[in-house]
Amino acid sequence: MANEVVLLDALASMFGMRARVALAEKGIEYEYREEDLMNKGELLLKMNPVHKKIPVLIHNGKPVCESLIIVQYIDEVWKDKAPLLPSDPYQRAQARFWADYVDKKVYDAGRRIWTTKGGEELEAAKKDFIESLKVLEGVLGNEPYFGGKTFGFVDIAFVTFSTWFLAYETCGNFSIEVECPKLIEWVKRCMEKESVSKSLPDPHKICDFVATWRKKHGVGVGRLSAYMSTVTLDRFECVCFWGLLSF
Amino acid sequence: MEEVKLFGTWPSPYSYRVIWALKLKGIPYEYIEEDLSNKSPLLLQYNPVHKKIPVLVHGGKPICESLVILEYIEETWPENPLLPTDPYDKAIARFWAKFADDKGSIMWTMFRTTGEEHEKAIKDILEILRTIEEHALAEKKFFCGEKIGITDFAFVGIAYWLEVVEEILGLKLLEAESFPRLHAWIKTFKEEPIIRENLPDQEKMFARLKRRREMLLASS
Repeated sequence: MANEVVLLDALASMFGMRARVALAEKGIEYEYREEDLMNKGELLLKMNPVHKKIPVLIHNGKPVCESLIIVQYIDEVWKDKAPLLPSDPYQRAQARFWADYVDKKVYDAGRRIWTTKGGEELEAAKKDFIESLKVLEGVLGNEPYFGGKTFGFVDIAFVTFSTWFLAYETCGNFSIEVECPKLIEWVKRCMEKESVSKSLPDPHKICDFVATWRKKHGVGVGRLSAYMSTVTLDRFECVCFWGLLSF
Repeated sequence: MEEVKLFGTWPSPYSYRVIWALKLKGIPYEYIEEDLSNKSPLLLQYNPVHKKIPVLVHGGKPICESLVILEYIEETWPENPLLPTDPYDKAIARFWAKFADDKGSIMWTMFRTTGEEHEKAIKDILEILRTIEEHALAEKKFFCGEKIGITDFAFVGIAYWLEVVEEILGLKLLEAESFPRLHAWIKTFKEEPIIRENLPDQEKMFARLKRRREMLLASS
């Protein structure tokens, strides 16, 4: 049977990017479909009736949901190339633990940074965010990747957040490079891989979206104005982005 | 075989998930009961990031987060499998286990709150039960087929513990008429020997949780 692979996704989603990177690492050909999250398509609602969220990987008509589950599925089906998880059960447990940590700690604090008006709430979000990044920097240690000598599961789980770093920094007025220089070195190292650089959108685009959202919600654009397009954003891109708030 | 230790708390459903997995696979282990109001130095050493139970320690090496522990147990001791072997079926099993994890805390929100927040939590739980009834449980004995597995363990935390919470709050959410599949599944898992012999006593749970609810109401 032919291997038909479709990915329902949204450009700026760091969760969708994980699936893109995993597919690229394995050299899998697939059809990418950008979802309008403000007006969810029939296919998305049918393939993910429980959460109605992206990403959804559809393999020969059967849907797999939740980004880390998708990455593990990809690793298990296309197991002959570029293993994403280590083979040792203890190392695998560590990889799953840290990917889960990214979901629990980094995502939440980051989201609070770019949606908050400011003041104490913002400072608290920044503190939590930087703390979680420092923990991860400690985990990385002196290895080139979280996977050790090779790029792997935790690298995929976390590197997709790097497209959002500029937006977090601008909203929070801080520098991740100053706080966690080794992490920024690691991001640059990952971006040298085509599977990563081709899967992640330009951080300026993320800033543009965040600025538009903040303007619409009266949160204040501030320094983000430097990243706003002089050309009106394509409506399609706008609605995709605003819908991202649901993930 | 290297030594296996489990740091847990009675009656945490997360602890019990690991107990069921170890017992089903016939793995001998030492159980250490943790007092969460006075966490032991060993627990803090083994789980410095979250400082939570359960923690499995195998040959001196700690594994944290219950679903991560379950996958580790499955991969280290593959006999009496708790996950399907087919990658697609495995992905579905993981999806529902994660769903149970993500949504389970709403039951505790309902337990801890009053007023509007409490009413909203009740509505949310009914929605969750509806989702499980319609989407997760097909006409199968267990969540992943004929044999009990990780997904069942994750949902027991909602179903069995909910029975006690319902009694304390004077609610009946999981009604047989509205949720026939869920009811059938609850009956089935309670009859499964390893589960039946390793469930926290509901009377004791009722007493402890009732006291806690009374304290919460008194302080609010």
